[in-house]
Amino acid sequence: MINTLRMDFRRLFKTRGFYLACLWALGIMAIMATASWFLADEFAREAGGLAGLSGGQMVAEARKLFNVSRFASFFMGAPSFMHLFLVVFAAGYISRDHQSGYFKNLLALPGAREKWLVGKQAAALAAGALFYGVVILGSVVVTLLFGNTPRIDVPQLAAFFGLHLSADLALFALLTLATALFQTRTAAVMVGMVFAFNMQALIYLLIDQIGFLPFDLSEYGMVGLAGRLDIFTFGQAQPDLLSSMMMGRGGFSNMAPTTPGQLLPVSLGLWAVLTFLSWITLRYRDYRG
Amino acid sequence: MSLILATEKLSKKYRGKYALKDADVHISQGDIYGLIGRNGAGKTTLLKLINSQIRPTSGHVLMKGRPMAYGSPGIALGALVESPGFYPDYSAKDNVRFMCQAAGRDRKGYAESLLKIVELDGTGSKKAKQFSLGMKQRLGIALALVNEPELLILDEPINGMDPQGIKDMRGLLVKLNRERGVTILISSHILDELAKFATTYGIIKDGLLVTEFTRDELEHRNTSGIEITAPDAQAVADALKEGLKLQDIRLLSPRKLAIGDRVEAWEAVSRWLFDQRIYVSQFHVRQHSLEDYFMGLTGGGEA
Repeated sequence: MINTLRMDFRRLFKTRGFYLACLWALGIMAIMATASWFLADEFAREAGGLAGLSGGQMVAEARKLFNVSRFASFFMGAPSFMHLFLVVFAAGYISRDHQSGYFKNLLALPGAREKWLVGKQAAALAAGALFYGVVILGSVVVTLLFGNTPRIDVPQLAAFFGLHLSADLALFALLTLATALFQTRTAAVMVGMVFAFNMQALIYLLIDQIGFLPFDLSEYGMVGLAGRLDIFTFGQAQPDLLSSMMMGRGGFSNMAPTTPGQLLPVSLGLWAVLTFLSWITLRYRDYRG
Repeated sequence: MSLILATEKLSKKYRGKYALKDADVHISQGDIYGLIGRNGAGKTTLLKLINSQIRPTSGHVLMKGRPMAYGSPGIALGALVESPGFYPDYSAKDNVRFMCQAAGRDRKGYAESLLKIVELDGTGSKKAKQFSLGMKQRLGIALALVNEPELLILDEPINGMDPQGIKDMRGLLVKLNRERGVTILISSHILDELAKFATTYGIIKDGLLVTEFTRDELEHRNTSGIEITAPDAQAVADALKEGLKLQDIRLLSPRKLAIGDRVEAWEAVSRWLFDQRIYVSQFHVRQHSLEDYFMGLTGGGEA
């Protein structure tokens, strides 16, 4: 197993797409940071009268509110945005062996299917963790550019991104299932995108509207739950005036932030089921390559 | 020689139709086993079953006498089935090193040595997708060799290769077989090429393994007759009819005669002529090619 992991990680770090995804994330962070700079201005104008401060003072005060945690959570606050980012990369990475036929070579090794399943999920998870690490690093840089001192609340960030990673893990298991079933990159990317785009939320909403179930299924939509995670509910609780202004939060604005107790069982439950189905599919579906 | 691989009533059905039915293949350790059959005969299906790419409908694969668990070969295996599988955006070296790591054989210089064997050591950072067909085949073989296989499975490995490449490939396979003791199971359409180095053959037709035979058996079965050139062919023919009681003798010309099909005791004929001091200027054992034999068994068509 260790050998397979070494191979998967080696390939991950030699995948250009991974670095491009990180650069893309940093680029988007730069755009959002610029937008935030001007949004702070708008925020200050709206709130200035209430505080009795001058416009310039209010803008300065507003910009002080932008810290590492807030920047890091910007991306994740946009429902499914970063998950989509990560899932598109992971779909290509995970399905590559099947698509290219490299999987045939691996099948000559004992227990190749099981090792593939574990190796791909582990490498994708590591990619996710590194990706979020880059997001945090970008947040530190942007915080510095805002003229604020970057203070990193490790438990807060770890809890926040750990929960997002749990959702990613379930999405990666979905990708391994899609790859095992359809054995093409296109299918894995399409399935990943549909779920990361939170199409599931629409389907759940439809089921809820029909009233088919005695409870609201929307409450259990994994990507929806992840999108409603609020970084400030972990650790330092503070009023989150900026988040709702800057992120809009769309359809989630009227919903309470997700708690770990809501997201973790859904994510890990889905991961377990999807991983089991992936394993069964790998074992019993012929490899067509 | 003990069997390294055997199959027992191995079958694979696709949508109700057998691609391979009740195949009993026997491959001895050290063999170069040539698998012959027309397109769609079931060759690739058999190789995929052995490489656990597909699950059998029924039957078993035995590795060294033990039933193989699906996905766990039980011996060191290397395979190149159908097109070679590689990451197109990586170099040959990267591709081989990935496999070396997966197989736990990532010792220093090992990947380079494999690339040298298949003569891809000079490709540097060139991406595999830019390789020629022959180079891709050779990369596939390098990947199959990573696991230091006891049994190497090759499906049409010389497809797309130029004559020199084919010759080099033959040399490589014979070297692997003789020097490293690698047993090779190889399918090929190019029967004349296969006949040059395979030691055992199996013929598949319509999903059924028709027959298995060794090179010696092929030579024995395939001897179609003797042609003798002598100053007086008629006299030689009369002597053979009288002395060895041979009946199927035809005079081709005043100086040439042919002894009919299935003359299995050609050594005895030669010795008798020598003992009788009957002078012949040429003594030629006519043999059909492997291709002729295959055509005879399968009723013609492309191999």
